[in-house]
Order: sequence, then C-alpha cells, then structure tokens
Amino acid sequence: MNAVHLEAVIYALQIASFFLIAGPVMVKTERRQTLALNPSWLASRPAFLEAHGAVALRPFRLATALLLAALAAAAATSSRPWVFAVHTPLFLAVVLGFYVYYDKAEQRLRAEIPEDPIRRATLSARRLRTFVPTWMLFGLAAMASATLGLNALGYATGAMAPARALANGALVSLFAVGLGLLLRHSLRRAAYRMSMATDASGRSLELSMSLAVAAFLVLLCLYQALGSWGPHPLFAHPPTQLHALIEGTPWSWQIYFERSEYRWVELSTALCIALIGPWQARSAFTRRLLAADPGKISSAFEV
Amino acid sequence: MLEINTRSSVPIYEQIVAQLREAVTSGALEPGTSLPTIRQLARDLGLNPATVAKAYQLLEKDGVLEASGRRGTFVRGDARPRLDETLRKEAGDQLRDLLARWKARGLEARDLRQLCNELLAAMEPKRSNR
Repeated sequence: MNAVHLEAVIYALQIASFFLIAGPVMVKTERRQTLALNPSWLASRPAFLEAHGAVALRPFRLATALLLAALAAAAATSSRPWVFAVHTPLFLAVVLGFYVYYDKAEQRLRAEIPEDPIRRATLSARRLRTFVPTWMLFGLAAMASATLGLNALGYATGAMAPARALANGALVSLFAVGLGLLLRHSLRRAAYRMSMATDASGRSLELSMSLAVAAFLVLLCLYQALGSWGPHPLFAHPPTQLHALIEGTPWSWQIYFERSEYRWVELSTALCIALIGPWQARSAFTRRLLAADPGKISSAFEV
Repeated sequence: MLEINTRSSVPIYEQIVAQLREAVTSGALEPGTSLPTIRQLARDLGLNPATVAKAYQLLEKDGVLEASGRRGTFVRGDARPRLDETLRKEAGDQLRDLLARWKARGLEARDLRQLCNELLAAMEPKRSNR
C-alpha cells in the first residue's frame, strides 16, 4: 500500500459519508418539509402519503458503489490526478446531478399539495445570537481577524511577498462576503411549515454548519498565511487559482499533486466533508423530524 | 406564535392586530420585546408585506408598538396600560349605548344596576362550600 492508496481511503470516506449519510438525510428532511406544507390535507389522503411518504434512496447507494469503484480503479494506477478526478470533479458533478433531480421531484410534489389556509409564524425577531452560541461567532471573527492581521503585518514588514499577502487577504475577504450572504439567507428565509420549535432547531443546525465550514476555510487561510511567512515560505507556489491570478504566476497541477502542503489541504477538506453527514444525521432537528411516523405526519410537527 | 387563517371572513391584518394585542395583554409579549420585521413576518406567513405593515401601523397608532428606525419594531413600555385603557374605553362606549337603549325602553337605573350585578356574579367562578 502506497501513499496514494492511503489518501484514496480518506476520499472513500468522503464519498461514502456524503452519499450514504448526508445525501439521504437531506432528501428525507426535504420530503418531510414538503409533506408538512398542508398537514390536514395530507391526513385525509393516506394514499398520497403512502405513495410519497418515503424517498427512493437507491440512486444514492448506486452512486456510492460507482464512485467507490472508480476511486479504487484510479487508486490502482497510483495516479493522484486520476484519484483527484474522481473525488473532486466527478464527485461534484454527481452531487449537482442529485441536487437537480431531487429538487425537481420536490417541486413537482409541492405543486400537487394545495396551500394551507392556516399559516403560522413566531413573534420573535431573528438574530444570529439566538440560533448559534456566541463563542462560535466570536471565535470565527477572531480567527478571521488574526488571518487578515497576519497578512497585513506580513505585507507591511515585508515578511511576506506583497502579492501573496494581497491574495491571502482577498481570499479571506471573499469567504467573509460569501459567509455573510449565506447567514443572511439562513436568517431571512421563510420558516419551515411546521412547529416553531422544529424551525428554530433547523435554522440553528443550518447556521452552525455554515459557521463550522467557514471556520474550516479560515483555518486553511491561516495555514496559508503562516506558510507564506519568511524568506523560505512553505507555499512556494500559489496555493489557489485566485493566488495564481493575483500573483501572475502560472498554475501547475503537477506541483499541486506532489507537494505535501497541498495534500494536507486536500485531505483535510475531504475529512471535513466526511464529518458533515454524521453531524447532520445526529442533530436534534434531524432525529426529531425523521423519528416521526409519516402516517401521523401532522402530529409530528406539533413537537 | 401568530396563526392566521386566510379563509376566515376576518381580514388578515385584523387577525394580526387582534393576536398581537392579545399577546401583549396576556404578557406573552413583554414591554421592550423586539418584533419580527415586516418583511420577515410577511415572508413567514406568505403574505404581502403591505398587509403586515398595515397591522403594525394600526398597533403603532394605538400606542402598542413603536418603530425605532433600523433597530426594528418594539412593544412599547406602556403598551399594557394603554391597551387596558383602550379596552375600558371600548367597553364603556358599548355599555353606555346598551344601557341607554334599555333605559329608553322603560327599565329603571336601579333595575339595570341589579341586572348587571347579577350577571357579573354569575360570571364569577363558584366557590366550593366546605
């Protein structure tokens, strides 16, 4: 067993976790949300519930088998570019395909359910602090500030190549803007059509996940900032395409596949994706939602 | 929680006003509580923001809510006494009309007072005899 095989095991974890845990949890949760659009209408139509209460999960198992087989074949050649092709572009393409397929299915189902005349809303103003612990917000802000400060210091003192410091700063700023938009959407989107207790825990899970992913990305930026320090920086070559663009240095895939610092970034990203599934499946929101009997779905939303 | 029925004969903005008043009177909404923005409430209830805005404006006019620019809309500190006062005024107006009508039909003030007392006594929860 060589290094490529060992890495392939981690990528296999990423694929299996996403397609066997995270994906099914997401589509099952989405189906419950759809069915909850009009609980009283649904209660009087057991045939509709029987037909649409469960989501077909076979495509997920099939995709897992196919992707793992492709990964094994790529690993057998001991070629990192082939392994990468499976766990990043192919993986993302299949994820996108699944998203489109399941989203269309939910849209079709939603069109069949008449609008519920009874509508509910909480009377509390939505603030980030209500849904996620303050330490999480401050921790993330502190990490982002430290990263930006480090790059600014490196730029000012000349301890870091100016173009690298600018590129690092631009990356953190881009992540910050993206996170801001994501959090804004999660806070402002309409409440789930179910009990307000479930809505709050769902929103809390959604926001916590966004913040955790952002924390991971900021940690990577911090690693890049520290690795760009000094006369012999760890990241001798641009760490991302954005860096290559700002630094005016051509991107080299070969370096990306050979240098250990880039491997660490890639492997930790795979582990981060692998952890999302179990976290989502074990959350209070998901457990409460999926434990409910679909036959008594209206009562499930009165938790 | 706010619950509206889009098929009800009562206009939606009135349902919102009534429920917010009730929440303040019952203490479910404490003075100083920050309320959801017009857009948020409209989005959650699947309504036109103008409907929610109309309800908020009426409650502001009644002195129940106060809009504080970008900070949002809050329950006024004196919302409960104001609501109590509004309630007393409404009840007083209706009772005055009613009593005047029965007096015009020949009932004495003494009889009306006695009738009111009897009706109020009947509404009181009965005490258990030991």
